[in-house]
Amino acid sequence: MSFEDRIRDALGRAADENHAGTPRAEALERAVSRRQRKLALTGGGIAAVLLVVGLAVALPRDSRTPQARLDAAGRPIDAADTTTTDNGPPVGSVNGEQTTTTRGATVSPSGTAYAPPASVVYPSATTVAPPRATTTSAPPSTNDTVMVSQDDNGKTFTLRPGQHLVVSLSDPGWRWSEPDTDNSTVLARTAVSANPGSDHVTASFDAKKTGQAHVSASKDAPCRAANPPCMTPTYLWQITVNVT
Amino acid sequence: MDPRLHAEPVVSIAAVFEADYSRLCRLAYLLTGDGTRAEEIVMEAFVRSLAKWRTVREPSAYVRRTVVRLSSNRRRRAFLERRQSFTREPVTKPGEPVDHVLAAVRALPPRQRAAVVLRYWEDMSEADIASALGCAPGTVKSQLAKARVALEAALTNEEDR
Repeated sequence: MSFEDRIRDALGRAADENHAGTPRAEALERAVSRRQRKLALTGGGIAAVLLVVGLAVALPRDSRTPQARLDAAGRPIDAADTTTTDNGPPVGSVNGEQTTTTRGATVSPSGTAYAPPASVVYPSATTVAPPRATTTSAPPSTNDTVMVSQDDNGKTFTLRPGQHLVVSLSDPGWRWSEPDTDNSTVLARTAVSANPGSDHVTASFDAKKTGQAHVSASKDAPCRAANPPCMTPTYLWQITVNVT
Repeated sequence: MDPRLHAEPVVSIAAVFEADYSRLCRLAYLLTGDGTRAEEIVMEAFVRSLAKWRTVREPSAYVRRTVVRLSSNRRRRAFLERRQSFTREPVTKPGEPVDHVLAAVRALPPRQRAAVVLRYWEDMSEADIASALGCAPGTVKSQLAKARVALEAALTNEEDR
Protein backbone atom coordinates (compact mmCIF):
# COMPACT_ATOMS: atom_id res chain seq x y z
CA MET A 1 0.00 0.00 0.00
CA SER A 2 1.44 3.34 -0.99
CA PHE A 3 1.91 6.20 1.38
CA GLU A 4 -1.01 8.12 -0.08
CA ASP A 5 -3.26 5.08 0.01
CA ARG A 6 -2.45 4.64 3.69
CA ILE A 7 -3.57 8.17 4.32
CA ARG A 8 -6.79 7.66 2.34
CA ASP A 9 -7.49 4.44 4.17
CA ALA A 10 -6.89 5.98 7.59
CA LEU A 11 -9.04 9.00 6.81
CA GLY A 12 -11.82 6.82 5.43
CA ARG A 13 -11.90 4.66 8.53
CA ALA A 14 -11.80 7.70 10.77
CA ALA A 15 -14.63 9.32 8.87
CA ASP A 16 -16.73 6.19 9.25
CA GLU A 17 -16.27 6.45 13.01
CA ASN A 18 -18.43 9.52 12.93
CA HIS A 19 -21.98 8.27 12.76
CA ALA A 20 -23.73 11.57 12.42
CA GLY A 21 -27.24 10.87 11.28
CA THR A 22 -28.97 12.80 8.58
CA PRO A 23 -31.44 15.10 10.31
CA ARG A 24 -34.40 16.49 8.53
CA ALA A 25 -34.56 20.09 7.46
CA GLU A 26 -36.51 20.94 10.60
CA ALA A 27 -33.25 20.67 12.53
CA LEU A 28 -31.79 23.40 10.37
CA GLU A 29 -34.88 25.48 10.89
CA ARG A 30 -34.53 25.13 14.66
CA ALA A 31 -30.92 26.26 14.37
CA VAL A 32 -32.00 29.27 12.31
CA SER A 33 -34.65 30.15 14.90
CA ARG A 34 -32.11 29.92 17.69
CA ARG A 35 -29.81 32.26 15.77
CA GLN A 36 -32.60 34.73 15.16
CA ARG A 37 -33.57 34.74 18.84
CA LYS A 38 -29.95 35.26 19.77
CA LEU A 39 -29.64 38.14 17.34
CA ALA A 40 -32.86 39.66 18.65
CA LEU A 41 -31.63 39.42 22.24
CA THR A 42 -28.29 40.92 21.27
CA GLY A 43 -30.00 43.70 19.36
CA GLY A 44 -32.28 44.41 22.30
CA GLY A 45 -29.33 44.60 24.65
CA ILE A 46 -27.48 46.98 22.39
CA ALA A 47 -30.59 49.14 22.03
CA ALA A 48 -30.97 49.30 25.82
CA VAL A 49 -27.35 50.36 26.27
CA LEU A 50 -27.71 53.01 23.57
CA LEU A 51 -30.88 54.29 25.23
CA VAL A 52 -29.15 54.66 28.60
CA VAL A 53 -26.15 56.39 27.03
CA GLY A 54 -28.42 58.65 25.01
CA LEU A 55 -30.38 59.66 28.09
CA ALA A 56 -27.19 60.37 29.99
CA VAL A 57 -25.96 62.60 27.19
CA ALA A 58 -29.29 64.28 26.59
CA LEU A 59 -29.94 65.22 30.20
CA PRO A 60 -28.95 68.81 30.88
CA ARG A 61 -25.85 69.17 32.95
CA ASP A 62 -27.64 71.25 35.56
CA SER A 63 -30.06 68.46 36.32
CA ARG A 64 -27.22 66.04 36.85
CA THR A 65 -25.32 68.44 39.14
CA PRO A 66 -28.00 70.27 41.09
CA GLN A 67 -25.40 72.30 42.96
CA ALA A 68 -23.77 73.62 39.84
CA ARG A 69 -22.18 76.95 40.62
CA LEU A 70 -24.17 79.84 39.28
CA ASP A 71 -23.88 83.49 39.87
CA ALA A 72 -26.61 85.51 41.45
CA ALA A 73 -28.21 86.05 38.10
CA GLY A 74 -28.44 82.34 37.55
CA ARG A 75 -25.72 82.23 34.90
CA PRO A 76 -22.86 79.73 34.98
CA ILE A 77 -20.12 81.07 37.21
CA ASP A 78 -17.60 81.22 34.32
CA ALA A 79 -19.78 83.68 32.50
CA ALA A 80 -20.23 85.95 35.48
CA ASP A 81 -18.13 88.94 36.28
CA THR A 82 -16.11 87.04 38.83
CA THR A 83 -12.63 85.73 39.21
CA THR A 84 -11.85 82.21 40.33
CA THR A 85 -8.55 80.74 41.37
CA ASP A 86 -7.91 77.01 41.24
CA ASN A 87 -11.62 76.30 41.24
CA GLY A 88 -12.00 78.18 44.50
CA PRO A 89 -14.92 80.39 45.29
CA PRO A 90 -15.30 83.45 43.10
CA VAL A 91 -14.74 87.08 43.89
CA GLY A 92 -16.55 88.20 46.96
CA SER A 93 -16.89 91.15 49.24
CA VAL A 94 -16.08 91.45 52.87
CA ASN A 95 -17.35 94.48 54.70
CA GLY A 96 -18.03 96.13 51.40
CA GLU A 97 -14.52 95.55 50.05
CA GLN A 98 -13.96 93.60 46.85
CA THR A 99 -12.21 90.34 47.63
CA THR A 100 -10.90 87.26 45.96
CA THR A 101 -11.33 83.97 47.76
CA THR A 102 -8.74 81.26 47.21
CA ARG A 103 -9.19 77.95 48.98
CA GLY A 104 -9.81 79.04 52.53
CA ALA A 105 -8.38 82.58 52.58
CA THR A 106 -10.23 85.71 51.64
CA VAL A 107 -7.90 88.48 50.52
CA SER A 108 -8.74 92.07 49.81
CA PRO A 109 -6.95 94.10 47.17
CA SER A 110 -5.08 95.89 49.93
CA GLY A 111 -3.58 92.60 51.03
CA THR A 112 -5.59 92.18 54.19
CA ALA A 113 -6.24 88.54 54.72
CA TYR A 114 -9.45 87.31 56.23
CA ALA A 115 -8.62 83.88 57.58
CA PRO A 116 -11.51 81.50 57.69
CA PRO A 117 -12.39 79.72 60.89
CA ALA A 118 -10.83 76.40 61.66
CA SER A 119 -13.82 74.55 60.32
CA VAL A 120 -14.29 74.04 56.63
CA VAL A 121 -17.17 76.50 56.57
CA TYR A 122 -16.70 79.75 54.80
CA PRO A 123 -17.49 82.79 56.90
CA SER A 124 -20.96 83.97 56.31
CA ALA A 125 -19.57 87.25 54.97
CA THR A 126 -17.96 85.47 52.05
CA THR A 127 -20.42 86.41 49.42
CA VAL A 128 -20.43 86.86 45.74
CA ALA A 129 -20.50 90.46 44.73
CA PRO A 130 -23.10 91.63 42.28
CA PRO A 131 -21.88 92.62 38.83
CA ARG A 132 -20.29 96.05 38.84
CA ALA A 133 -21.90 97.09 35.59
CA THR A 134 -25.07 99.01 36.19
CA THR A 135 -28.00 99.74 34.03
CA THR A 136 -29.88 102.83 34.93
CA SER A 137 -33.55 103.14 35.21
CA ALA A 138 -35.19 100.10 33.82
CA PRO A 139 -38.66 101.01 32.63
CA PRO A 140 -41.25 100.51 35.33
CA SER A 141 -43.80 97.81 34.77
CA THR A 142 -46.61 100.16 35.59
CA ASN A 143 -46.78 103.80 36.39
CA ASP A 144 -46.69 103.21 40.11
CA THR A 145 -44.95 99.84 40.46
CA VAL A 146 -41.52 98.67 39.33
CA MET A 147 -41.04 94.93 39.11
CA VAL A 148 -37.54 93.50 39.45
CA SER A 149 -36.28 89.94 39.44
CA GLN A 150 -33.03 88.07 40.00
CA ASP A 151 -32.01 88.94 36.45
CA ASP A 152 -31.75 92.61 37.46
CA ASN A 153 -28.86 91.95 39.80
CA GLY A 154 -26.46 94.90 39.88
CA LYS A 155 -28.76 97.32 38.09
CA THR A 156 -29.81 100.79 39.21
CA PHE A 157 -33.41 101.89 39.19
CA THR A 158 -34.84 105.38 39.48
CA LEU A 159 -38.12 105.84 41.28
CA ARG A 160 -40.22 108.80 42.23
CA PRO A 161 -41.53 109.19 45.74
CA GLY A 162 -44.74 107.27 46.10
CA GLN A 163 -43.84 104.55 43.61
CA HIS A 164 -43.70 100.91 44.64
CA LEU A 165 -40.91 98.42 44.09
CA VAL A 166 -41.71 94.72 43.99
CA VAL A 167 -38.77 92.33 44.22
CA SER A 168 -39.45 88.79 43.08
CA LEU A 169 -36.52 86.39 43.36
CA SER A 170 -36.73 82.79 42.24
CA ASP A 171 -34.07 80.16 41.70
CA PRO A 172 -34.97 76.49 42.08
CA GLY A 173 -32.56 74.63 44.31
CA TRP A 174 -31.45 77.70 46.25
CA ARG A 175 -32.74 79.32 49.45
CA TRP A 176 -33.28 83.05 49.36
CA SER A 177 -33.08 85.39 52.32
CA GLU A 178 -35.57 88.20 52.78
CA PRO A 179 -34.78 91.16 50.54
CA ASP A 180 -34.18 94.23 52.61
CA THR A 181 -33.07 97.79 52.19
CA ASP A 182 -30.20 99.61 53.83
CA ASN A 183 -32.05 102.92 53.93
CA SER A 184 -35.60 102.55 55.07
CA THR A 185 -36.19 106.26 55.15
CA VAL A 186 -35.72 106.44 51.40
CA LEU A 187 -37.13 103.03 50.55
CA ALA A 188 -39.26 101.28 53.12
CA ARG A 189 -40.16 97.62 53.00
CA THR A 190 -43.88 97.18 53.25
CA ALA A 191 -44.33 93.44 52.80
CA VAL A 192 -42.40 90.25 52.35
CA SER A 193 -43.52 86.81 51.28
CA ALA A 194 -44.58 84.45 54.05
CA ASN A 195 -41.98 81.77 53.42
CA PRO A 196 -38.55 83.32 53.34
CA GLY A 197 -35.86 80.72 52.93
CA SER A 198 -37.66 78.98 50.11
CA ASP A 199 -36.54 79.06 46.52
CA HIS A 200 -38.93 81.94 45.81
CA VAL A 201 -39.27 85.13 47.79
CA THR A 202 -41.19 88.32 47.13
CA ALA A 203 -40.95 91.67 48.87
CA SER A 204 -42.44 95.05 48.16
CA PHE A 205 -41.02 98.47 48.96
CA ASP A 206 -42.31 102.02 48.89
CA ALA A 207 -40.20 104.97 47.77
CA LYS A 208 -40.61 107.51 50.56
CA LYS A 209 -38.34 110.43 49.77
CA THR A 210 -35.40 111.37 47.60
CA GLY A 211 -32.12 109.66 48.21
CA GLN A 212 -30.37 106.38 47.47
CA ALA A 213 -30.95 102.94 48.89
CA HIS A 214 -29.75 99.46 48.18
CA VAL A 215 -31.96 96.44 48.20
CA SER A 216 -30.12 93.21 48.76
CA ALA A 217 -30.79 89.54 49.32
CA SER A 218 -28.67 86.45 49.29
CA LYS A 219 -29.11 82.91 48.25
CA ASP A 220 -27.57 79.78 49.70
CA ALA A 221 -27.47 76.18 48.72
CA PRO A 222 -29.61 74.09 51.09
CA CYS A 223 -26.54 72.14 52.15
CA ARG A 224 -25.27 75.24 53.92
CA ALA A 225 -27.86 74.52 56.60
CA ALA A 226 -26.71 70.93 56.98
CA ASN A 227 -24.36 69.73 59.71
CA PRO A 228 -21.56 69.97 58.79
CA PRO A 229 -22.38 72.64 56.24
CA CYS A 230 -21.04 72.49 52.72
CA MET A 231 -18.61 75.06 51.37
CA THR A 232 -20.85 76.48 48.69
CA PRO A 233 -20.48 80.28 48.74
CA THR A 234 -23.35 82.61 49.43
CA TYR A 235 -24.45 84.61 46.41
CA LEU A 236 -25.42 88.21 46.87
CA TRP A 237 -28.18 89.88 44.90
CA GLN A 238 -28.31 93.66 45.07
CA ILE A 239 -29.81 96.59 43.22
CA THR A 240 -29.48 100.32 43.72
CA VAL A 241 -32.55 102.48 43.92
CA ASN A 242 -32.37 106.21 43.39
CA VAL A 243 -35.45 108.07 44.50
CA THR A 244 -35.64 111.42 42.82
CA MET B 1 -41.25 28.09 8.72
CA ASP B 2 -38.60 30.25 7.16
CA PRO B 3 -39.53 30.58 3.47
CA ARG B 4 -35.90 30.81 2.47
CA LEU B 5 -35.43 27.19 3.48
CA HIS B 6 -37.61 25.78 0.70
CA ALA B 7 -38.30 28.53 -1.79
CA GLU B 8 -35.03 28.68 -3.65
CA PRO B 9 -35.35 28.68 -7.44
CA VAL B 10 -32.44 26.37 -8.23
CA VAL B 11 -31.79 24.19 -5.21
CA SER B 12 -33.14 24.69 -1.73
CA ILE B 13 -30.90 24.82 1.27
CA ALA B 14 -33.07 22.12 2.82
CA ALA B 15 -32.23 19.75 -0.02
CA VAL B 16 -28.51 20.46 0.28
CA PHE B 17 -28.78 20.07 4.04
CA GLU B 18 -30.36 16.63 3.82
CA ALA B 19 -27.99 15.51 1.08
CA ASP B 20 -24.69 16.81 2.45
CA TYR B 21 -25.09 16.97 6.19
CA SER B 22 -23.60 13.58 6.97
CA ARG B 23 -20.67 13.99 4.59
CA LEU B 24 -19.91 17.45 5.88
CA CYS B 25 -20.04 16.18 9.46
CA ARG B 26 -17.42 13.57 8.56
CA LEU B 27 -15.29 16.23 6.92
CA ALA B 28 -15.52 18.46 9.97
CA TYR B 29 -14.78 15.46 12.16
CA LEU B 30 -11.58 14.74 10.24
CA LEU B 31 -10.57 18.38 10.54
CA THR B 32 -11.36 18.80 14.23
CA GLY B 33 -11.23 15.30 15.67
CA ASP B 34 -14.42 15.92 17.63
CA GLY B 35 -17.81 14.60 16.52
CA THR B 36 -19.88 17.04 18.60
CA ARG B 37 -17.86 20.00 17.46
CA ALA B 38 -18.14 18.77 13.87
CA GLU B 39 -21.93 18.82 14.00
CA GLU B 40 -21.89 22.29 15.54
CA ILE B 41 -19.65 23.55 12.80
CA VAL B 42 -21.79 22.07 10.03
CA MET B 43 -24.97 23.55 11.49
CA GLU B 44 -23.25 26.89 11.87
CA ALA B 45 -22.10 26.71 8.25
CA PHE B 46 -25.65 26.14 7.02
CA VAL B 47 -27.04 28.95 9.16
CA ARG B 48 -24.41 31.32 7.81
CA SER B 49 -25.00 30.17 4.26
CA LEU B 50 -28.69 30.90 4.53
CA ALA B 51 -28.05 34.64 4.43
CA LYS B 52 -26.22 34.41 1.10
CA TRP B 53 -28.06 31.48 -0.41
CA ARG B 54 -29.58 33.38 -3.33
CA THR B 55 -26.23 34.69 -4.49
CA VAL B 56 -24.30 31.44 -4.21
CA ARG B 57 -23.56 29.66 -7.48
CA GLU B 58 -22.54 26.31 -6.06
CA PRO B 59 -24.32 25.90 -2.73
CA SER B 60 -22.76 22.59 -1.81
CA ALA B 61 -19.22 23.84 -2.41
CA TYR B 62 -20.01 27.05 -0.57
CA VAL B 63 -21.17 25.22 2.54
CA ARG B 64 -18.17 22.90 2.39
CA ARG B 65 -15.86 25.91 2.14
CA THR B 66 -17.58 27.42 5.16
CA VAL B 67 -17.15 24.19 7.09
CA VAL B 68 -13.44 24.06 6.28
CA ARG B 69 -12.92 27.66 7.31
CA LEU B 70 -14.87 27.30 10.52
CA SER B 71 -12.91 24.16 11.35
CA SER B 72 -9.65 25.97 10.77
CA ASN B 73 -10.63 29.08 12.60
CA ARG B 74 -8.13 29.22 15.40
CA ARG B 75 -10.13 31.53 17.59
CA ARG B 76 -13.23 29.42 17.30
CA ARG B 77 -11.20 26.31 17.91
CA ALA B 78 -9.65 27.80 21.02
CA PHE B 79 -13.05 28.90 22.32
CA LEU B 80 -14.61 25.52 21.74
CA GLU B 81 -11.65 23.70 23.21
CA ARG B 82 -11.87 25.78 26.37
CA ARG B 83 -15.60 25.17 26.60
CA GLN B 84 -15.37 21.46 25.98
CA SER B 85 -12.09 20.69 27.67
CA PHE B 86 -13.83 18.94 30.53
CA THR B 87 -16.38 17.03 28.48
CA ARG B 88 -14.57 15.96 25.35
CA GLU B 89 -13.79 12.28 25.12
CA PRO B 90 -10.27 11.24 24.18
CA VAL B 91 -9.71 10.50 20.51
CA THR B 92 -8.35 7.04 21.20
CA LYS B 93 -9.88 5.11 24.02
CA PRO B 94 -7.65 3.06 26.33
CA GLY B 95 -6.98 -0.43 24.96
CA GLU B 96 -7.90 0.58 21.43
CA PRO B 97 -5.22 0.11 18.75
CA VAL B 98 -3.63 3.39 17.81
CA ASP B 99 -3.91 4.41 14.15
CA HIS B 100 -0.54 6.05 13.64
CA VAL B 101 -1.49 7.54 10.29
CA LEU B 102 -4.56 9.18 11.70
CA ALA B 103 -2.65 10.38 14.76
CA ALA B 104 -0.03 11.91 12.49
CA VAL B 105 -2.70 13.65 10.43
CA ARG B 106 -4.33 15.06 13.56
CA ALA B 107 -0.96 16.33 14.73
CA LEU B 108 -0.58 18.50 11.63
CA PRO B 109 -1.21 22.25 11.80
CA PRO B 110 -4.82 23.14 10.90
CA ARG B 111 -4.20 24.34 7.35
CA GLN B 112 -1.96 21.42 6.47
CA ARG B 113 -4.47 19.03 7.98
CA ALA B 114 -7.27 20.63 5.98
CA ALA B 115 -5.25 20.35 2.77
CA VAL B 116 -4.50 16.67 3.43
CA VAL B 117 -8.12 15.81 4.27
CA LEU B 118 -9.50 17.63 1.24
CA ARG B 119 -6.87 16.08 -1.03
CA TYR B 120 -6.96 12.48 0.15
CA TRP B 121 -10.44 12.08 1.54
CA GLU B 122 -12.46 14.47 -0.61
CA ASP B 123 -10.21 13.84 -3.67
CA MET B 124 -10.33 17.52 -4.50
CA SER B 125 -7.97 19.17 -6.94
CA GLU B 126 -5.43 21.68 -5.73
CA ALA B 127 -7.46 24.49 -7.30
CA ASP B 128 -10.59 23.42 -5.43
CA ILE B 129 -8.64 23.08 -2.20
CA ALA B 130 -7.25 26.56 -2.74
CA SER B 131 -10.79 27.86 -3.20
CA ALA B 132 -11.99 26.09 -0.06
CA LEU B 133 -9.08 27.33 2.02
CA GLY B 134 -9.15 30.82 0.54
CA CYS B 135 -5.56 30.77 -0.60
CA ALA B 136 -3.50 30.43 -3.80
CA PRO B 137 -2.96 27.02 -5.44
CA GLY B 138 0.75 27.42 -4.87
CA THR B 139 0.09 27.71 -1.16
CA VAL B 140 -1.87 24.48 -1.29
CA LYS B 141 1.05 22.75 -3.01
CA SER B 142 3.48 23.92 -0.38
CA GLN B 143 1.11 22.99 2.45
CA LEU B 144 0.64 19.50 1.01
CA ALA B 145 4.38 19.09 0.53
CA LYS B 146 5.08 20.08 4.12
CA ALA B 147 2.32 17.76 5.33
CA ARG B 148 3.73 14.83 3.39
CA VAL B 149 7.18 15.41 4.87
CA ALA B 150 5.76 15.58 8.37
CA LEU B 151 3.60 12.47 7.86
CA GLU B 152 6.44 10.45 6.35
CA ALA B 153 8.69 11.40 9.23
CA ALA B 154 6.05 10.49 11.79
CA LEU B 155 5.27 7.15 10.17
CA THR B 156 8.95 6.30 9.74
CA ASN B 157 9.54 6.95 13.41
CA GLU B 158 6.63 4.71 14.32
CA GLU B 159 7.84 1.89 12.09
CA ASP B 160 11.33 2.12 13.55
CA ARG B 161 10.06 1.58 17.10
